[in-house]
Amino acid sequence: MDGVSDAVDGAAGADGGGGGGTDDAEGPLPEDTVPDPREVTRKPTTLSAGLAMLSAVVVMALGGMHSVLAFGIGAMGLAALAPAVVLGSRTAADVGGGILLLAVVATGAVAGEVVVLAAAVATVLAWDLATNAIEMGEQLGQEADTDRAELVHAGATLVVGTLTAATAFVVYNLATGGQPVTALVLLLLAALALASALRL
Amino acid sequence: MSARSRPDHERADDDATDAVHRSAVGDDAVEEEVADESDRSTGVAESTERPTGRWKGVSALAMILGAAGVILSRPSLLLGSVVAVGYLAYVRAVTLPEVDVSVERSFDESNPDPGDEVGVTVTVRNRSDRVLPDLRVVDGVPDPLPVVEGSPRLGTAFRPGEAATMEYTVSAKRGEHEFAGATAIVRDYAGATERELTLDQPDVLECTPSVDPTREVPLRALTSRFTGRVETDDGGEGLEFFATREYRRGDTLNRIDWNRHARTGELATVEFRKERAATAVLVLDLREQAFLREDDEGLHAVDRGVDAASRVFTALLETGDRVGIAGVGPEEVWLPPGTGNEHWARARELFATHPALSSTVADGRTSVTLRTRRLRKRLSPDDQVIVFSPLCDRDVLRAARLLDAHGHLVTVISPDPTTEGTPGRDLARAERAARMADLRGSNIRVIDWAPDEHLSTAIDRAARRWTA
Repeated sequence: MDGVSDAVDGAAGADGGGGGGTDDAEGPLPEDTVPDPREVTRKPTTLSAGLAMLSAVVVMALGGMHSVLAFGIGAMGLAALAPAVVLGSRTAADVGGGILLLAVVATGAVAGEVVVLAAAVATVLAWDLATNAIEMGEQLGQEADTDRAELVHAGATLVVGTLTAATAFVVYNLATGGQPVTALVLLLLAALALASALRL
Repeated sequence: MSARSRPDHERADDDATDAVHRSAVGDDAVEEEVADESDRSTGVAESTERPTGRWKGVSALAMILGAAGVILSRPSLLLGSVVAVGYLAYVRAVTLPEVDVSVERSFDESNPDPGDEVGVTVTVRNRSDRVLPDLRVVDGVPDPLPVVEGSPRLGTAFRPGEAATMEYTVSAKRGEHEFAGATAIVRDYAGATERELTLDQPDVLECTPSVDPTREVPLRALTSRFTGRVETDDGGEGLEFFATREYRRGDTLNRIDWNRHARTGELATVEFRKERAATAVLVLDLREQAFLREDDEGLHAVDRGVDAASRVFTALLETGDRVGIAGVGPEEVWLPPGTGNEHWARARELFATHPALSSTVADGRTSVTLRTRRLRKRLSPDDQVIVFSPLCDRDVLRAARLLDAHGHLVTVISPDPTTEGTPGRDLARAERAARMADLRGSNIRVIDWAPDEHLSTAIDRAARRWTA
């Protein structure tokens, strides 16, 4: 080829092609070249990624208001979630979600019900949105217009969490008016029974 | 799927959903018509539902918070686990909606030239009366067409009857390109299950080069017996004075030089320079090695060669020359020299649709020696040859010299695919320059055609050097 390989390109770079599944094999983006507009950047979408980080900050802040330990663990969770939503690693997202969960436990050791409920919802939100950003990035790429799907998803998760938390809080307050310990145990049993009935 | 009955618009209720529907689509009659049209065109093939498994971690959340609450005797943590259970119930409760969507695709230019940027607008419409919380659509852009702007991918949510559009721009390449259909993934609210669908919407983008002839193609002085425009060194019928000679019986009266007869009393006949047509065979380098371009964006040298050949072909036909086409590549291309409208139509079809002349890279090895030998057998002795090649290896040089040695006058039009910047690129460029010098040294004309240059400019520039 007489060294022309610099100028050689095979088939015209193909975009789309109807793949779209998560199984699209994509090589890593060469770092030293200008991004090719035809190439799909399969990195987490920015909107969900940003919202996930925001939720993680909320978890950290709620913990920080009550204990230094919870704040520290929350910061670790935030630090684990950041590479997940920048690079697109599911494992990092799961690890980040797990650490945030520990931060909720640390918060719950000292804080009241409202704070713990809010922190639990924020933890689920952070983990769910990070996963959604990664999946959306893998399927559609960063260039695609995905804002609306992301917002609807984030909104649904937030509303469900808030409703559950509010209902739980109201029921708890009504129940603890009389017999706090029994109410708690019953609530726990109900939760576990529901979880096993749902086989999840 | 697509045959689902549409919500009945005539029914007199004013529920919110219907109102949304109305406002989104405007006039019912028009909408009905559009829907009927897409009923025929948009088919939906579905795969089975599959769980995404992305909510699995939530049960761990329930267990851990609950356990921690019991161990630490903290009612707040126990309460926190209720949130997780709530999410589990939510994931369990949501169902995947029925999908009834139509896809319409439109191009802002129906018959673009190669290299033109064509805007594609895809409209996806939810035709069911249910909300689609998460639909991800990837349009089936044909492989050879690069997307230069925008993205053929869309992720959105639909209210009933709502439509969403995505716009992107592709760079047109020669040939017929079929946009097969869009692939879509629908998810429920929680994203717990998803289903992949194919939204069938075939559209064809046809890109035939408009063959504006290049101004004039300098042919060399080897001609046929047909009248044409190549000036010969031979006297006879023509326009330009060539010589006078002694009168012979049978010469026509109006050719006799009467002035001379009046002066000297001798009869002499005026001869004009004969103008003859040439026969040219355009030889296209279609080998894998010729698919070169200076960056990832531009056209391949083969594309530019085919484009140049189609222009040269038209120009030569217009001037009355006979033109044929031959291809050196994995697949054989041969159009014997000819003339006339029918020949032009045949050539046009060949340029537009022949698979070997398409923009996709040719697979397989080509024996240049074998192809040249076969080509040589097909050429008649007077045919001249115009080669379209980026001149990026020595095989072409050998072929050109061989044709030249057998008495065919050879002109090479060479689209320049080289660039500079790295040592490798500089080397490739220098080597190509050396090959051109080599060809010129053996009496072969070479037209070096830069990427951003007009073909006629390149020809003019080269022609100046030949006459100088």
